[in-house]
Amino acid sequence: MLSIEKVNIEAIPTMRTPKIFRDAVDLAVLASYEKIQLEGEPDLVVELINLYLEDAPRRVVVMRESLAKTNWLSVKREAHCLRGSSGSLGAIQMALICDEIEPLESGDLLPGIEALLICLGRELEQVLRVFLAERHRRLQ
Amino acid sequence: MTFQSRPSSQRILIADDDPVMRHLLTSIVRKEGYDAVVVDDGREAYRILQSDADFQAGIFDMMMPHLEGLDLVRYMRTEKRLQRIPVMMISAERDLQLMTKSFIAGATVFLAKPFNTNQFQSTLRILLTNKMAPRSVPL
Repeated sequence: MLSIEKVNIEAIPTMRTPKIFRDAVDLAVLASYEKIQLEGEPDLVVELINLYLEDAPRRVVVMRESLAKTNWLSVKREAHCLRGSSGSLGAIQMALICDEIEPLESGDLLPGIEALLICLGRELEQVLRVFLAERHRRLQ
Repeated sequence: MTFQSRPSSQRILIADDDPVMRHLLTSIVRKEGYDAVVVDDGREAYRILQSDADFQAGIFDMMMPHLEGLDLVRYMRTEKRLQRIPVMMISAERDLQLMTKSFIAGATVFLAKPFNTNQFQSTLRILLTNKMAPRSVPL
């Protein structure tokens, strides 16, 4: 379980890549949803984050289980859905990894797919940290 | 999951299996002044459409469990009472052939994910003002 106290966005490793690809989440995407916030209703961004926190980890687990059962269709379906929601919330790297997984077929090398799922799991941890921090900031 | 607001002619039917996307679409639709009737798969949308045609538009994800968006729009085009309802097909697919398939099936507009709120709002307005005129929205 991730702890809000441990969140430190500045600790996310930096690389010589464009900022949009370096950050786990492009927070500008989340901020863009403020303009569709309905008056008197709960914070839309917080609600979207909550839905993602609930949905994304479950999908990654299903992908791992499906891979173990060589259920390729399920792996692809979960990757497809996760790509859509991740991209919509600015989790660019998550979306890109899902984009790598989705077209893979049963004939592709299993270790490569397993490696991608490991990457996906690590990236999800980063994304969840950022989302938890953002949710914490908005609820204060 | 089915969320239904008050019956009115300002209703838009939304079907998407992704909870994040569902909530996002619902928020934008409501911001535009419409009521959202929201379901999480194509089969549930089909059930609603069997007895209720009082919608200004339908917004369907292409890939959904049980019944895909394409099948849903094909059904709507075979039913006279549903034929006037314009449909926006949304998809995370990159295959341009799917866009063509959407139009052949009877979709009115097509929007690729991910999209920003401006793109969605513009497409929704096109959908509601140019009913049944097939067109694509730039990817």
